[in-house]
Amino acid sequence: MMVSKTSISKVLLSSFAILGFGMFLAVDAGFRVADKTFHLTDPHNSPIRSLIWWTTKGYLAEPQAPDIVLLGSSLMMTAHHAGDATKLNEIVNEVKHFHSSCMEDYLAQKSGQKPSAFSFAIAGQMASDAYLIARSLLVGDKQPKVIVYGIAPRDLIDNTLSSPASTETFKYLDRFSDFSDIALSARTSANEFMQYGLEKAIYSMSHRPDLVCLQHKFAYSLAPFGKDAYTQSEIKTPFMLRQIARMDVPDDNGSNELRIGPYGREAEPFRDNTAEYRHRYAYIKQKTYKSQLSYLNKLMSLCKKQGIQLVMVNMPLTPGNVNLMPPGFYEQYKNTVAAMARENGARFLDMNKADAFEQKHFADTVHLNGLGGVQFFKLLSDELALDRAFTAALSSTQ
Amino acid sequence: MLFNSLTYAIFLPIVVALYWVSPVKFRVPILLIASYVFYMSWRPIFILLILGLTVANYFFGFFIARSEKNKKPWLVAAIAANLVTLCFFKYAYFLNDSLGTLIKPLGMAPPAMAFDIVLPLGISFFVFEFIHYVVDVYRGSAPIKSFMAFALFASFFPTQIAGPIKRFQDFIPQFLNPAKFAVKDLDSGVSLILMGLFKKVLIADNLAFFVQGGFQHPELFTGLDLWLFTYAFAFQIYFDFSGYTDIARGSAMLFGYKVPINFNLPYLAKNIADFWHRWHISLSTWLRDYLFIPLGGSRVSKWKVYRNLMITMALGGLWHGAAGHFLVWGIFHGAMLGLHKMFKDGREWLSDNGYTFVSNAVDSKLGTALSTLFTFHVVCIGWVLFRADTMATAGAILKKLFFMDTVFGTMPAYATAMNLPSINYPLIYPAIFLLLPVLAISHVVMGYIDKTNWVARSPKVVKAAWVCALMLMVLVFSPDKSPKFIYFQF
Repeated sequence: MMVSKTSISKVLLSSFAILGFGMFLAVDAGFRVADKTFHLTDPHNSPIRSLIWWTTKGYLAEPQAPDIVLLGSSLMMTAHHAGDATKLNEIVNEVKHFHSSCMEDYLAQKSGQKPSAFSFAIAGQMASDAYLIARSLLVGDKQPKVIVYGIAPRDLIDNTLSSPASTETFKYLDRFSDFSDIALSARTSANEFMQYGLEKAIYSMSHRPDLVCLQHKFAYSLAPFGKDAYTQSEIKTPFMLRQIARMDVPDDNGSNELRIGPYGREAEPFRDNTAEYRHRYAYIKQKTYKSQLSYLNKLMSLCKKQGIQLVMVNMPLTPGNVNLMPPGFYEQYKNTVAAMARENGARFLDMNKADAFEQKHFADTVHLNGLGGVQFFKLLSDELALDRAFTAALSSTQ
Repeated sequence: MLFNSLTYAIFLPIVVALYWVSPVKFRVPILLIASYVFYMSWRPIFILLILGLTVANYFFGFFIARSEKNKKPWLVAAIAANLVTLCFFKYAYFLNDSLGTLIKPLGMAPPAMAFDIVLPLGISFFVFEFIHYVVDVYRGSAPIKSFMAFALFASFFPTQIAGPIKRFQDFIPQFLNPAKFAVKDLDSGVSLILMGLFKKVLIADNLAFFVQGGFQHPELFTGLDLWLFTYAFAFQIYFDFSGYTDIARGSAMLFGYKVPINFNLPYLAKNIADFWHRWHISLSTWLRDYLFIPLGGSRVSKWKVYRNLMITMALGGLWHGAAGHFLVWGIFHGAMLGLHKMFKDGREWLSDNGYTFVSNAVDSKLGTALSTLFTFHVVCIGWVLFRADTMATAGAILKKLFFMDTVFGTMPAYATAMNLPSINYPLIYPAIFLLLPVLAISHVVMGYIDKTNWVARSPKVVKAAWVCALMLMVLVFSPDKSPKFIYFQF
């Protein structure tokens, strides 16, 4: 017995579930109209205080575009923070310290003019993230003259990355940027496509973070210890409970949680993360590698088009780490990136110099410590000061 | 494929639509195929397990029914086949470890496991359904003739992974005489699914964030804090499992099928026996019918009743998981049921002899309220044994719960631990002090709503607004990563 047309229309008229669904669509449409008209939500707000949220907030608060923007993953980020902490001999707050004192001062020493250098390096940043940051934020009156992008093979091959759209950077920037041109290519799984389709169709779903922010605000207004607790920054919860919570929400960082001290103030034994990288390099996903290279190419083309001088910096790694890679992979990676840079008028600078960085400069097999950070920016500034294209870009008026 | 996944949100409407637009004779095959697809979405190889057990039990049913002399041997063989399969997948490691502990003093080591054993999803549930089937056929029920209906009975995807444990006498007729499409079923099904998702993703998943902190590191928290974690877990497991059951029942209802309820406001139970009439009802009735009664039930001597209660609950505890703390949880409930029986017998003896004051006190409004509160706390103590990863952790938590170190002992430096839970994410941290009382009150409110049939009597537009609100809340406020249902591991 088939369901007849009459019974279908009867269902439509008599079902409260269907009426409820209709109400839901109406509420969603109302929310869409109200938000477009009255700007109820702020897409820059976030329920989790991720590094991209903190850094974007810092960048938008800059009075004018910095001369130089640093991009990169934790390799560049730790070099920047640990290096500055060591040079300044003070504790640096990683979610508030954005300007690279090392770079600004060493370049000033070389050229006599102090440029401003803002770091957009974020732990876990992939080439696709770097491209998205550049096209979303490093534009218009916030366009820098130079981008220095520190890269290593791991930033192109992360084997835990399910797709470019799965990073926190993509999710956050997507809220106030138009990524429709890469919406499909940045997603890989059926689940991601379904999610995307639903977000396109249902306004409330695509604005979940905004509504969750409201939910948090409401929860805090009800909390017995007062409304002041909703500060979006300081974490007052006991350390262990907080650590456990961060296992589930690893991207959430309070302003008092990520601090780094000067090199030598506390004992920093070398952390041998060989096993982690043996695993990373053993399972290189060629699809991810190719996809990330294509985003790197997009970044280079964008910089060329916008007139931003791009310097690609091959980040220092320990020889032991390089040896973990499949035979020939590291050379092939360097050649590919260098060739791509040449084609796009960017410079490729190989800073992985065995004579410049020793074991004492590393916190583990890939990340520089405070000593290494200082050394890195010194050598980088030396190289950049000699680069005519770089100095010309810096002295240009945009 | 999890009930709280996007994949299920697409899978279910497709199957429902296919089911209702197809001619009646194709509906059972459609459901069977969908159920196998659902099962294979996790590990395709385990389809062989469920299929193998289905074929075996189908034939066992006929052998038992048709055999005159060998009914019992066939029954024993059928039960053994089911239990051996369950034990192999679920208890092999546990038995091996237990053997190791026993023979360690003799200087011997247990045999090394030659291969890894992965626990197939839902095995505890469908094995219990098979045992129920063969035992009932042995007791005189007619075996199921249609293989397809029998296969669907065990594999029906809404109840496949975590029950409710069905009875074939109630369920098979629904396959053989399929219901006509009814708006009422659609409405009830959708409401139940949304309510289940609400319970799971909004309440249980948010409570889970909070609970795991306390249960992983009890040494960091005070006795008062740990009571808070324990209450939170009590509500987490209730909302997780009853949320799952609601989705299962709602999904079944979309096809016009009724599956049994599993919960009836368990934390309003007046005593521990009442609790087991309200908590995981399909399991407790299974244990009663296929373990407690065959052991002699309560129609034996007093001490044997205590023994039967203890065996039933201990095995019920082990059914939940192959670990010592589940066994101890079962024994704890066995002991509590025994104590309750002693109290009940004593009360009846006093009443019979004219001393009615105990009964009067217990039956008074205040007595009922105090009994409910006491029962809830007994259950909570049981939950500590259930949730803690090891007996050592459970012991550490119970010690703090009972001795209230903040009150009677030295106030530790971290005693203010729970006073400022100002984490912005997830919601549960700032709201926990409000949420737990609200959940407790909601239990009472839900009791009233159920009793007065309030939802069914509301105007259509109110019911529609309820559906709309649930959809919005589930879509917007569910955590990005929703953990699996707790009972999926069993």
